[in-house]
Amino acid sequence: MGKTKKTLEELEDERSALEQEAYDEKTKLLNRSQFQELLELQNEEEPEFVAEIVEMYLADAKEMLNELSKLFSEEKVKEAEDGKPNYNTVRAVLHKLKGSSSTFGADGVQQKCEELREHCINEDLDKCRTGEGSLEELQSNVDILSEFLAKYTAKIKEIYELSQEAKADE
Amino acid sequence: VLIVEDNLMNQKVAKVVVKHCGMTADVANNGAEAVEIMKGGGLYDVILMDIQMPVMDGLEATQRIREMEATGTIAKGNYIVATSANATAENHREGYEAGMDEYITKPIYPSKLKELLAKPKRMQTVLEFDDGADGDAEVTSLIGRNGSG
Repeated sequence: MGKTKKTLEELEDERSALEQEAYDEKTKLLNRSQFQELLELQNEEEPEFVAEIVEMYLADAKEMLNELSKLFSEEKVKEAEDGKPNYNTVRAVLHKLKGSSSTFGADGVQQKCEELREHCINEDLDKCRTGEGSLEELQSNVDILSEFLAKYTAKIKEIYELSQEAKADE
Repeated sequence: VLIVEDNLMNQKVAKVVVKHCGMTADVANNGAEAVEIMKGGGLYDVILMDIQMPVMDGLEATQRIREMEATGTIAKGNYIVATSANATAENHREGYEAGMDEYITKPIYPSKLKELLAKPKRMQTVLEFDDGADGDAEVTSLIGRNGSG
């Protein structure tokens, strides 16, 4: 058919490159040791482990971000007796998101959770909504991580499929 | 192993870690479920107990389990390990006071779990009871815990 298939080696190199990107101090997407530990849990018995975990983490994050968005919404704030968002609930949600992110090794997201938490403690609604350490920023961080994870899981799937093919050929 | 954890992702990670250690895992979604499982005669090498959960948290569930042990409702000597994202000294203290044997940060990885399982069979946790004026036994302190830590 004339299809140029990448070699396992090439794919592994690409995967390594993605990892380096994630672990980079500047991007702070993922914590190397934490993520590596998770990767090591994937094996013959759990061939889809990483993809499953990623899916669960992102679903959790999405739900929590939605909740946070509602809590900071004009509507909710107006409803409140004191005209403030329910900061306690926000912090509880942030705590959960932080917990999930730490299991996953999502350092950057974890940090943004901390920053937003600070704004909550200071009850600075403007800062909570936009700018540095805001929900907006947190959302954007999660989006970037999500994009990365999609690329990464696609890559390991490619590697897995190729290695299975190689086994079948033996 | 009994995994007590409300978050699905954490449940999955814990289950796979247990598998990697060559063991089987049961799951409870919160403290209340865990207590029911133990009441029903659950026997485990280790109970991985999350702290923050809905319905009943890990501290209360641990207290209940220890109470059942003390009254002979269930077998004594359950090895309860707190797994939590929180790890302040205060949290640790609360955990131990509730009857936890260990307190570790989530998530627990295979090497750590193996380490915990390799520890010599724990000595009985000795509970000091205080029979208050109204006759109710209260756990006032935990002494004589496994010296190997």
